[in-house]
Amino acid sequence: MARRSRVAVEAEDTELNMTPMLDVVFILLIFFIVTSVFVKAPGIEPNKPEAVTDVDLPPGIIVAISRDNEIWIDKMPYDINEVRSVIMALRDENPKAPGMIQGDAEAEAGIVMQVQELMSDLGIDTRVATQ
Amino acid sequence: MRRRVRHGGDDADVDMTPMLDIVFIMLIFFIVTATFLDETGIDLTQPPPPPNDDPNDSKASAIAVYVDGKNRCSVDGRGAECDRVSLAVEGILADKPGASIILKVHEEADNQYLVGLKDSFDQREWTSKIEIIKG
Repeated sequence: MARRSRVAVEAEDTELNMTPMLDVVFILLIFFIVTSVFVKAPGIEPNKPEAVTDVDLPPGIIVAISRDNEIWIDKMPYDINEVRSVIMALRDENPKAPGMIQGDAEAEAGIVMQVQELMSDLGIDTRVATQ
Repeated sequence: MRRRVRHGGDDADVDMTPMLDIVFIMLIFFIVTATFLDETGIDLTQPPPPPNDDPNDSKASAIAVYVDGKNRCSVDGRGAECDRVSLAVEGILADKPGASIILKVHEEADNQYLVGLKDSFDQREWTSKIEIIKG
């Protein structure tokens, strides 16, 4: 009697135990959910200037400036006067996100610096994108 | 009797396969989106002005690099090729050691000159201040 039951228990033990794998998968899943930043793509791909001293950055709030000096955020062009409220809304969604200005190489420097100053003003750590 | 009850309990185990499917799909989605964007950039933020900054005092030992609205560069009033600005500044710095650099960019100049010049100064570890000239 006792012997038979022991055999049955051993047969059950040889089934694949998925619990450790599930633990690992869940930890990976939670890690990727937490670290993922949902970036709103600006909708255009400016021809960015080249630089040597540039550093890698995780993008958070992306503002693109085309060569015609249009300011694109989240696939919509905006006027310089409207940008402030749009960026404020994005910052409130994701308060710690760093900013990135993707200015075209031929965009006006004045517009790029204006957006840069505006974003620094709102407390966003902002960089100007390079290739 | 008891054994049968235990057997029923074994059968009532939760089927985890559908949940596993969903978890794997989410996992793959997050892995793919997490490494989607890779950006590089340079810092154009202005250093905070030092307290009690006397403009006359700082002008005495400053090198002005100017980019006008037609993307012509000049260093201390003398025209220079935009690629050679840092060479010109280096020459002036040899005469005036410790001079600060003011990068004056006309608002209609191209972004690439603003970024390129700031980058070339950063590369040589010269601190520079950016000024946008309106007009």
